[in-house]
Amino acid sequence: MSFLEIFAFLLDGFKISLLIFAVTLLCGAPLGLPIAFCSMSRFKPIRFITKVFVWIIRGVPLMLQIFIIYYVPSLLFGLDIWKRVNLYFTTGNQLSYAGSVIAVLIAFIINYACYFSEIYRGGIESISKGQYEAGYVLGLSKNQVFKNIVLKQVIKRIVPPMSNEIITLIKDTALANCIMVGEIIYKANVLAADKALIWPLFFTGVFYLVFVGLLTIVLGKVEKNLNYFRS
Amino acid sequence: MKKLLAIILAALMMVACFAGCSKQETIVVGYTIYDPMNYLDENGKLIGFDTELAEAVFGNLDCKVVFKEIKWENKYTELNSGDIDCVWNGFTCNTADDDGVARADKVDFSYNYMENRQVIVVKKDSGIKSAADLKGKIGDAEKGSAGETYAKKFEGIVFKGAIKQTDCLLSVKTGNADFAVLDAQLAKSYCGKGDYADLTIVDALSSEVEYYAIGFKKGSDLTAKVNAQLEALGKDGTITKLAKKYGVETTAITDFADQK
Repeated sequence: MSFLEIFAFLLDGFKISLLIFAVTLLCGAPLGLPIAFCSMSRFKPIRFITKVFVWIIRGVPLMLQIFIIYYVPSLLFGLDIWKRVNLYFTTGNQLSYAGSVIAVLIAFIINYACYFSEIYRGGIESISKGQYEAGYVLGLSKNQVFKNIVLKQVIKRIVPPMSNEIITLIKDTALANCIMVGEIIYKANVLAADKALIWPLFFTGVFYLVFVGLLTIVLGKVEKNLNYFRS
Repeated sequence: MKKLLAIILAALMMVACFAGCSKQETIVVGYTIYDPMNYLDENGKLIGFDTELAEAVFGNLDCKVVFKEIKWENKYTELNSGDIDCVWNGFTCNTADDDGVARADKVDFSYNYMENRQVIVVKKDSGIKSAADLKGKIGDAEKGSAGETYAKKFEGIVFKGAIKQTDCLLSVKTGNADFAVLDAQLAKSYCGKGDYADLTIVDALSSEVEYYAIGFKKGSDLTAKVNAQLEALGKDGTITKLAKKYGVETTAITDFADQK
C-alpha cells in the first residue's frame, strides 16, 4: 500500500471520529442546558434526581457506558436493535457498524451533556444576585434580565471551560473502537493486523493534532469576538 | 460523505428497519483478522479461506452471510447473545479454555475442517531454541485462545494476553513480549511480512496437531446443516480449490467420512 492509500484509509476512519465529534457537540451542548436548569431547580426532588443522574454519568467510565448501551438491550431485554441496524446497512460481506455508531452517539451525547451542564451551572451561578436585583429595579422582566444581562456574561465565561471539553471530545472518540466502530485508531489497528504495518498507528496522532490545532484557532477567535463588555 | 450520510440516516430509519428486514435469513459470522483465514484484499473486501468457505456453505443453504469482527475473548458472549450465529475463524476445537472447561462443552462444533498446530514466534536474534530458554520470558497469546492454553504449559513463563493474535506479533516486535504463541497457519503468513520481517517460528517448540472447526451456540440447528454442506463441498472439490487458492492445501480436510 502506498502512503496515499494508507492516508485515505485512515482518513476514512477519521471521518467517523469527526462524525461522532460533530453529532455529540450539536446534540450534547443544547441538552446540557435543561440538565443545568434542573440541577438548579427550586423544586427539591428534581434537583436531587438530576444531581444523582449527573453523578452516575460523570462517575462511570465512558467506555462502560458505551458497553451498557450496546449490550444491555439484547442481554436483558432480548432487543437486538443494534444488530438489526448493522445488518440493514450492510452492503458487502462485512457487517456495517451503523447501529454500533448510534449506540456510541447515545452514550457520548448523554455523557457530554452532563459535563456541559455542570459548566453551564457554574457559569450561571457565577453571576451575582445583585445584578438580577439591579435589573428588576430598572423594571426589566425575569426573561429580559436573563437574556440581556445574565446570558451574555455566562456565554463569555463558559467559553474557556467549554473549549477544554470540546478538545477532549475529539480524542475521546477513540473509545468507540471498544465496540468495533471503524474510527481512525481502529482503522490503524486493521492495517497492523492485516498488512503488518505498525507506523500508521502512530501516524493517526497527526490527524488529531491538526484538528485540535484548527479547533484551538477557532475557539480562540470565538473568545476574542466575545469581548463585548470591554470598552 | 455518502457513508456519513448513511450513518446519520440510520438513526432516523431505525423504525423503517423493523418493518423492512428481508425474509431471507441472514447469518452473521464472527471473525478476527487472520491471514489466510479472514483478511482484507487491496480493495478492503474481506476474503480468506474461512470467508470463502463460509460463503459457499451458507450460499448453498440459501442464506445471506455477513461477517462481524469480534474480540476473540468475547466469542462466547457474542454467540450466546445472538449477536453472531457462528464463529468461523480458525477456531481450535479439541482444547480446553483457561478455566479448564473443554471448548466442546461450551459450544457445538462442526466437523474438523483443518489441521493446526500452536507455534512459538520469536525475534530472529532472541536465542530461544528450546523449552528451557523460555523460562522467565514473557509470552504473549490471544486471550481465550488455544495459544494461551499452550503457552501456560511451559514452566516458568510470564503470561501476557492480547485482544487478537496479530497484536501478539506487535508485542514481540516492540519487545513487550519475548515470544508469542500463535496458530501455525497465521504465523507462517505473517513472519517475514512487512514490519514483521525479523520474526521467526521456533519449529522445535510446536504443539501436537489440533483441529479447526466452526463453533455454534449449544443446540443450534445450523450445526447439522453446515456439516452436510461441508461434506458436499469436500466431495465436489470446492474445499480443495479454496485450499489451493489460499495455500493451505496441506492442512485442509476434504474427507469427513470418519467424523460422522
